[in-house]
Amino acid sequence: MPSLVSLGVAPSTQAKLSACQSIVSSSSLLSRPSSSLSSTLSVPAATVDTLKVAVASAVLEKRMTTGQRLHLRAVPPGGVPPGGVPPGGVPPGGVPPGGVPPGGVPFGGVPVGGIPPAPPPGFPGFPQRLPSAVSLAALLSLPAPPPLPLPCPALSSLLRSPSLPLSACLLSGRLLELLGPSPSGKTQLALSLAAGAALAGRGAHYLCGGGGAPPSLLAQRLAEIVAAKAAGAAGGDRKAAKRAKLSALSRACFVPVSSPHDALHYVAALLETLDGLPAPLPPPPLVVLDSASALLTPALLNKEPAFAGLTAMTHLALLLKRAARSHGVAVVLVSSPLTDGSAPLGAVWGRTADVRVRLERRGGGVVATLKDHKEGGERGREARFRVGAGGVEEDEGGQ
Amino acid sequence: MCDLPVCYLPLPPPCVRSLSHLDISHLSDASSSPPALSALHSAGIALPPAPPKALSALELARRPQQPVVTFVQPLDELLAGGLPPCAITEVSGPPGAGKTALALQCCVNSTLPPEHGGAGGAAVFVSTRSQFDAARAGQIAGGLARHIGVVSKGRSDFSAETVLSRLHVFHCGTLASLLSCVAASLPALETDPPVRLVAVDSLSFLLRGVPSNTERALALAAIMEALNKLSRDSGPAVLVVNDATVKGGGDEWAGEGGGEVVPALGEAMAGMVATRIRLGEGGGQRDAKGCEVREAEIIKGVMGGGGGRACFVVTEEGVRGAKL
Repeated sequence: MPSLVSLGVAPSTQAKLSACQSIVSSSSLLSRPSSSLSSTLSVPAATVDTLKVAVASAVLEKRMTTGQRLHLRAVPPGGVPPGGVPPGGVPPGGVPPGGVPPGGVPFGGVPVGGIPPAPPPGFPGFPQRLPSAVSLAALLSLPAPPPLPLPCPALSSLLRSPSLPLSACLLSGRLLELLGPSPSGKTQLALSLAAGAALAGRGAHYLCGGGGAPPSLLAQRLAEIVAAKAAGAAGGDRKAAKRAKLSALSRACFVPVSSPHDALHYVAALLETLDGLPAPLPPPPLVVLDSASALLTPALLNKEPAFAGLTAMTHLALLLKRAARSHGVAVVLVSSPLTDGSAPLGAVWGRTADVRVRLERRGGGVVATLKDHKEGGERGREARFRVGAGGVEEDEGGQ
Repeated sequence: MCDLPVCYLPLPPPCVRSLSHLDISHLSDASSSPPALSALHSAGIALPPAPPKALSALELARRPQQPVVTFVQPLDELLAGGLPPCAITEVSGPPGAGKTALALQCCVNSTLPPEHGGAGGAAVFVSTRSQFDAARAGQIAGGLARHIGVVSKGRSDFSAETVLSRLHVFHCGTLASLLSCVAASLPALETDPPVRLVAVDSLSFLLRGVPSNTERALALAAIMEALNKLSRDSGPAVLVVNDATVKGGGDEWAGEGGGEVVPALGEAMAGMVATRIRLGEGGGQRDAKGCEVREAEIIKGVMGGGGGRACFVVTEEGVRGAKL
C-alpha cells in the first residue's frame, strides 16, 4: 500500500502518515481540516498545519515553474537503507553518491546538488524554516505530462515563448483564448484541439452554450475530424483507424450549458473529480468553453441581482485557472469581440487567459495573430492555417 | 458531491437575499438550516444539485440524423445532407433572392417520406409579413408530389394534399406575438407526424421597427433563445429568414459605392445560429431551361469546415439545383 514520503517530518509522524491510507495525494492532504487529520494521526494540530504549509509551498512552487501536478510518492514502509537501493527499485533520479539518507528519498527523485541538509534540531522533525524555492524546484522534478498535440506546426510556433523549453506542452496548465468575429474558425480550431487531445489519450470536455451549433452537430464534426486524423495516422490500416476513432470519441463529451451557473457547476464537479483521482494520474484533460462571450454577456447585462453576472464570471475564471494550475488542464476559451473590435466581457475576463489569439478569415484561409502571451511570446506574430474536412490544417499555399 | 458555494447556483434574487441574511455561503451550511432549505426549495433547487449532464461524443455521433433536404443537391452536400436538426440555420439575402421560396421548399421537403430520403414529418411556417402566400405553397407542394410520382413510378400515394395537411402556418404581426409563438405555442404544439422544421419568415422584418438598439438586441436575444430551446428540446430544424443590408457605404444591393452586402441584425445574430446561408445573384447566368441562376453561399457552417457555394433556380415547381 502506498505511504506518504516525508518532508522532514519526525519518524513517528511519517509512520502515522504512511499508515493513513486515505491520504494518497497532496491535494487530499491539503483539503482535509487540520483538526480531522490531527485526531486521525494523533499529532498536534500545529504539526499538521506546518506540514500542510510545507506541502502547499512545494505545490505552489511546482505550479509556478512547470505547471505540473504534484504527487506524494511512496516510500516502502521499511524505509530506505542508507547507501543502498531501497526495496521496490531505484528511486527516481537515481541513488545519490552519498547513499540514500535515513529520512527517505524525497519525492520526485534526488535533487541536483545533492540531498538538502538534515533539519536542525529543536523542532520535532521539522525544518526551522520552509524549504527554499530553489531546492524545492530541484526536488520536484516530476515527468511532464504527455504533450497535447497541436493541429499544425504554424500554431506551435505561434504559441511558443522563449521561457518555455522546446519539449514543454504549450497548452497544458494554461488558458488559451480564441477571439474573432463569426465565422473565423474559432470553433473549428477548438474542435481540432479537442480531436487531438482525445486521440492523444486525454479527456476532452466541450462546454457549448450561448447559442450556436448544438452538441449533436458539434459531435458529428468532431467525429469527422477524428476520423480524418485517425486515418492519416493509421496509414491505410482501416481497422486500426476505426479503433482509434471509437476510442477517441469515447473520451470526448459535450456539455450543454445554458447559463454561467451551469458552467460553474460543471467545472466545480470536474475539479472535485480531478482532486480525488488516485495515483498514477491520467493525463490532464482539455476543457473548451464555446462561447464564453455568448454565455456570459446576458448574465452581465442582467441587472438583478446586482453584480451577479460579474460574480459568476469571476468565479468561473478562478475555477478554470485552478483547473489549469493545479491539475495541468488545458483550457480553451472561445469569444467573439465587440463590434468595435475590442475584447468582450471587459478587463476582468481579459486578464483570465494566459495566451490570446485573434483569428480572422483572409484570402481563403485563417490568419491567427498573437495578441497576448503572459510568458513572453512575440505579440503580433501571425500564423496561417486553413480549415478543411479534417479540421485545421497547414496552409501550404497561403500568402 | 462537491460542496458548492451558493453563488454557483441560478438563484432568484429573493432566495439570494434570504441566504445572505442567514449567512449561508455553501450548500453544506444550508443542509443544516431549515429556513435555508425552505428558501432553496422555493427556488426549485433540489439538494444535492446535479451538474449539467455530459453527453458522450460517441453516442451523439452515432445518433441517426434526419436533416431536411433543400432539393439543391450541391447545397445539401455542403450541409452534410440538409438543414441540420436541433440547430438554427439562417438564410439571408437581398429582396428577390429566393429566401421565402427556399423556406417554403424546405417546409414542403420536411414532409417527404423517409423512403424517399425525407424527414417524414410536419412543418411550421411562421409568417411575420402581411400575408402568407398559400397559392405559392400549393404550387411547391404540387411540384414535390409530381417529383415523388415520377420517382416512384406512380406507386406512391404521396400527394399535394398530404403535404399541405402537414404544413401548419402561424401569422405573427408583432414581436410580442412572435415571442409568445416560439416560446409557448410551438413547444406545446403536438402534431402527427411530429414537426421536423420550423421556418420563420422573416425575423428582421419585425425587428426593424424597434427604434432602440438595446431593445432590438434584447428582443433578438429573447427570440433566438426561445428558438434554440425549441430546437434542442423538441429536435426540429429551425430556419430563420433574415434580410440583407449594406455595410460600409453604398445604397445598391449589388454593393455599388463600396458597400458590402451582409446579413442584417449584426454580429450578435452570427453567434446565435449554427449555419448561415447567403443567397445572391448568380452573375447573370441562366440554366438550360432559361431560368435565372442564383447562388447560395455558406458563410458559416460546422460540417466540412463550412464554406462553399451552390447554384440554384426558382421555378414554378419550387427551388431546384441549377443544371448549367
